[in-house]
Amino acid sequence: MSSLLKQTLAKISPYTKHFVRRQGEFAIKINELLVETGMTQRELAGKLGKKESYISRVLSGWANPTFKTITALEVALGKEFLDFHLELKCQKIFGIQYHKNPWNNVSRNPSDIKMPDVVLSSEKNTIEWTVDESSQAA
Amino acid sequence: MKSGFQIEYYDHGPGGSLYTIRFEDEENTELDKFLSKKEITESYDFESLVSRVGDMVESQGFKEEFFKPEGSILDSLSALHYNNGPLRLFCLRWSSALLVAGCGGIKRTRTYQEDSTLNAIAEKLQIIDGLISARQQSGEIVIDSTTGFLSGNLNFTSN
Repeated sequence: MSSLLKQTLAKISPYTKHFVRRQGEFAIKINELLVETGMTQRELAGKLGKKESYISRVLSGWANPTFKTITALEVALGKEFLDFHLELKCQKIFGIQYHKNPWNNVSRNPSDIKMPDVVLSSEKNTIEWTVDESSQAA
Repeated sequence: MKSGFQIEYYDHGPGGSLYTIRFEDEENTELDKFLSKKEITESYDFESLVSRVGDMVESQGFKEEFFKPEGSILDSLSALHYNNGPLRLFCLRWSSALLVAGCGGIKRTRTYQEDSTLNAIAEKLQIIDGLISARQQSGEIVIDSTTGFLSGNLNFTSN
């Protein structure tokens, strides 16, 4: 049988659960960065122009910082911790998918891009492109 | 302490192990009393506080920063609260991996010691903390430092 804690948690709104979880994760991340940088709470508060008690609230996992404050924290701690997972759009060139910088891929190994040999022929004033199959077999 | 009790396993997860206390001849554990008392469940910070308990078990661990240290420096009595709101859940925070949850309530006085109900809960927990500590030192109770699992004699009979 499910514990009363689990039953209670099941009734709490997804918004509340998500918000509290993110507050906790935020607190843990800030704490880790303080340890990593060797910065004290007082120093961080000074850099942000905030009271030390505010930093303490952040670390307690109950703060609700503005986006401006989050940005200021990232600058003060020298690390981005809000990752929106943006990716450069993929481009398809000649059916080949390129990521990030497509031109690097094109110029880096041009010999890897196999181009078919073509033979021009003309008949009755039309130009047709044909493929030289002997070169393809090689 | 007049009545006996046992340290009862409640839940565990990657964050740690959660135990609570069941006093002799009582139907509910201390944590279940907290989770079912009407005055507590109607408090505006109840859901946030309970969500935090769930998160700590599931992944975050019983981080020291999440708790308000109470009692003395010699014991592990701590209080979980939401943003310094009126609701308090008194616990024995042994490590980031082990929490023994007691009961709690609404703090309406400047300090919990001024509230007879909250003070009684806290004092009982402090006694229990000492008893667990003594058994740990003698080897009767073993705490797994990674998982927070307790093993050994978790039953304490009345004097």
